[in-house]
Amino acid sequence: MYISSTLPDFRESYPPHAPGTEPDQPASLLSRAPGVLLLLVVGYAGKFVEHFLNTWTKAHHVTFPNIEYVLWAIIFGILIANAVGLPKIFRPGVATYEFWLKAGIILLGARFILGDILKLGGISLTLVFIAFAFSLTFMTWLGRTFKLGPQLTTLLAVGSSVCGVSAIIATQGAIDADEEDSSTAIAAILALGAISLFTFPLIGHALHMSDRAYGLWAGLAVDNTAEATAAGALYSDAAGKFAVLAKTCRNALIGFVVLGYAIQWARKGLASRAATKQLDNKAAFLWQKFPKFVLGFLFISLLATLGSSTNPTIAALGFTKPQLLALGNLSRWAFLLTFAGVGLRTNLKDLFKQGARPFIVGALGEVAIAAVTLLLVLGASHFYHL
Amino acid sequence: MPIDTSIQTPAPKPRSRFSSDTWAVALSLTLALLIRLGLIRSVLW
Repeated sequence: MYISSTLPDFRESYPPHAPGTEPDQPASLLSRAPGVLLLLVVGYAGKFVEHFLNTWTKAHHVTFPNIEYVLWAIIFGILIANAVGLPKIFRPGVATYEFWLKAGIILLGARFILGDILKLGGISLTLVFIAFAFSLTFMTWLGRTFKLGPQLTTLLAVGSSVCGVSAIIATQGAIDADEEDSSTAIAAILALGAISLFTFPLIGHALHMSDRAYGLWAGLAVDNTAEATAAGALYSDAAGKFAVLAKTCRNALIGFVVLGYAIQWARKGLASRAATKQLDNKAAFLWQKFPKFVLGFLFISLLATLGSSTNPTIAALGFTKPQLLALGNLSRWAFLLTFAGVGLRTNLKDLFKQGARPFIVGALGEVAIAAVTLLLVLGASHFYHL
Repeated sequence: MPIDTSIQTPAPKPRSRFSSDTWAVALSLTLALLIRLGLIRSVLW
């Protein structure tokens, strides 16, 4: 039975970033099963190796740094996808990693109380605005200097300042950029995201950053949500939690940024009639672009907050401690599938296919944004004791 | 005068009615409800 019409539309079919790749048609639930199983096997292999190494090194009194399962899962995924290649049967299921990411973020709401979200979210939003203004100006200047087209420059600026691939896809339609520009921008952002997975934890440890400060930095500076979550989790479980919070704040702004660009493009007379027509109802435009999983995250967090109330009547409305623990663990399982997917969809050949100039512009931009956000976070950390 | 490039714009690809956002929210809230009702008592990690 073919039941695709009722299933989620995972447009980012494997590999989501490959230039010129057309997304597959929506797949059936059954066709996704092998890939989801592979995500579970790869993720669990990472968890097994982490546990095995910890036990073995302790038993043999060997000093060895604790390497989180996240790194193993990503490495195993990259090895499978690039050394062996991913058979077609697994691709629809592997493409669900973004779905697991969103489910993981919603369930992570159980590990936050609203007060924390408001405090850290407020700091994150302030830093996001500063970093956004900087990255937009800097990337535009870089794009002009390296003679990139205005569309590609805009996509790189949006991808590096808001939320990576999702922001690029959302902006592509608003500014009428062609497929090649968006594929190039996505490839550059993903290549740099993959590099940040290995560099950010090293910098964080070298600077002895706290879990909160590091998580905030990873969430603000790493572009794609999956990579930002992984970069945080590679440092520590708690850092992963704060990275998700900071990244979610960035994601929530996507609609406003895309709307801003769409208006600017339409005013210049560069947008198509179809793109301009979308602006007739700005509220609908914002709602369409708004990542709905953010609302799910806030709702779960609200129930977690109610459960922690000292008033028994209010507390009865929320989750108990064992229930919060169960939700937190479910979130970890969802992220385990996500991290395996990050490795499995990383196609090294495609990542470096997009030509040197966009990559250089992206890399210079990313390094500058990472440095600026690091300074901002260290400054905020000093004042707010993160 | 605005340049209408809509003729060159490829036709939108077919999309299913619900996005992965909607499905992620639906799955997570269902699991949360099952836990809240005590139908799932614990989840190991």
